[in-house]
Amino acid sequence: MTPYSNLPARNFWSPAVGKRKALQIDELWVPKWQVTPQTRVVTFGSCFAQHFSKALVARGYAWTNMEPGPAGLGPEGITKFNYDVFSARTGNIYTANILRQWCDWAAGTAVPPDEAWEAEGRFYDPFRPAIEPGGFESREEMQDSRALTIEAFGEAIRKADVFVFTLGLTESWRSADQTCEYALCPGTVAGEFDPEAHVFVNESYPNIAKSLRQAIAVMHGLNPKLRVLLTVSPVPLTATATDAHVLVATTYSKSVLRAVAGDVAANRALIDYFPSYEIIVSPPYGGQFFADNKRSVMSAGVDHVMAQFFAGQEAKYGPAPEPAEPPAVQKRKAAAAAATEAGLVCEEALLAAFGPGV
Amino acid sequence: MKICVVGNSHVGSLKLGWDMIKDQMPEHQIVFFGSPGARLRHLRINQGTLVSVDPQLHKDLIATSGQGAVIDPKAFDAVLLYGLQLPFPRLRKGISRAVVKATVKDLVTDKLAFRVAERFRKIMTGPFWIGSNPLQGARSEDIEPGTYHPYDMLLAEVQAAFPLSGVTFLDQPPETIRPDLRAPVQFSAGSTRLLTEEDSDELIEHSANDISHMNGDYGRLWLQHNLPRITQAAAA
Repeated sequence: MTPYSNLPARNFWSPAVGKRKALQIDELWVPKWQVTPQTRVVTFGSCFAQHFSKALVARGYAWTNMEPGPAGLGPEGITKFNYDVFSARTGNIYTANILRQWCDWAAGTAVPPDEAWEAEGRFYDPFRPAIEPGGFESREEMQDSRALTIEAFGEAIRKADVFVFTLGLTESWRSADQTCEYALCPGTVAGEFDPEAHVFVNESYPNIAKSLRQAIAVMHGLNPKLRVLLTVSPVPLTATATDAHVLVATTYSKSVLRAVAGDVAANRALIDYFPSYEIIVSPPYGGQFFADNKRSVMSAGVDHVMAQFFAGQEAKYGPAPEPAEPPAVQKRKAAAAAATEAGLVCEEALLAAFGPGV
Repeated sequence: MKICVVGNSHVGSLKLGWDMIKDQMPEHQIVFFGSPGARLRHLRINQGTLVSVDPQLHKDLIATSGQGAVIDPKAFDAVLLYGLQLPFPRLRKGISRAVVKATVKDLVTDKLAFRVAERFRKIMTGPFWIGSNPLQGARSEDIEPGTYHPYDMLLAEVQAAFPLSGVTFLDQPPETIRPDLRAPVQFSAGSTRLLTEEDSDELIEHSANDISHMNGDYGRLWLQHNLPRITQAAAA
């Protein structure tokens, strides 16, 4: 009798992986808590987090968006101006330290630096440089827009049941005085790179873990019951600013993030880790989910990842309760109901004004 | 001066308001052509006039105008289109000018107001006026949190985005605009609708849920605010 004697099959490589086809590998995740269609979920992080929200919406789960596009703005504008991508218009939050920045701003314990990237008379937000195509018309407009997003980000934390965060990068660009971290390297999307003002930092495990724990602590200060679901993006680096080959740099980056996510979630009831990274990247899958560029994750991969998420939920908690209607359907129904109500009222209002009693 | 007002349910408040003040303005006459919802989409051009191709719209036009179902702009000194499912944008400060422009463009494009205005444009050469739906009424006296883009700036964007020439948008009276771009409660909630049932002359209160439609006090203020502009332009 050894400690391994009574463990389930999923604990052993041969029955759980070796003797199975890749897509038959299951029981990859045993969730710490239930996520139902009624659970209010918010999503932030790197590009891969967008897939999470889309899958939730498609299944009628209550993905919560605290900064939707303005009423009246059509689908083309919603896409163009980067609404409905994350639960607030933060753009990608690639690193734990940037998450901590947003949390501090939302909690009011810090304010964003008074910095704007300027190009051809337009202004770009250093913390979400691609959010407004063509840039903002003034520094004030950029700051007002960011203030709205910070407010929405704070509301997302306060009102959500589950905060999904996808860690993306260890490599970061900061102000030389270390007062802030930028979303991207200055000069890549907007702004101008200045070696005197901008410094590269490939963040280490201890600092990433510290930033992530700090961010979560701030979130729990705003919402003590908030559950946090961590994932790691399987998407490799586009480029590295280190001396390493980009493949080697990617392995470092993802390995550190994976380790941080696991450790931060360990022994914390309110924090869980979901292995989307492993499902895409692990050798048994043979890279089948990557596109020809060996970087982009194809929809089949995303579908498989999300199928594992819902399968994990169902295995532990049983079939999900009846899904809420997708927000788009809810919105349509609400609009139809309002129109019906307004239509009824319309008739009455007109009759009232022109009726015989007047 | 004879003014033609064409609109959907929102013209109800203008009619009630006009009834309050018309004795003070005997030099003006207003003829209302109203029909609820989007029924005015059934207006068609016929020999320089607009006529209904829908039986219910036909009845509505006769009932509201007290004259007939044919709208002939040549018979009037000025034309005002009102409501017609043209919501006024309510946008937070922080929403960029580019997003404001895109939103307003989407709001005015292909709405009932545009389709009706397009038909008027085809049968008349002179300018005419448009009043959008009123701002929705507030549900309480408390101003909602957040800062909003100024009403006048948004109105200018609506004017700029409207894809027809010779059309001028008219504004709400300042006293009907709160900083949160809601109309004060007294203009909607709790107001008396004056709805009459067939066998009764009893007054019936507005539904508490109806914050879209304004009452006669609002209509009176709107006309007092905008009629001078309309009549002066028509007289010029």
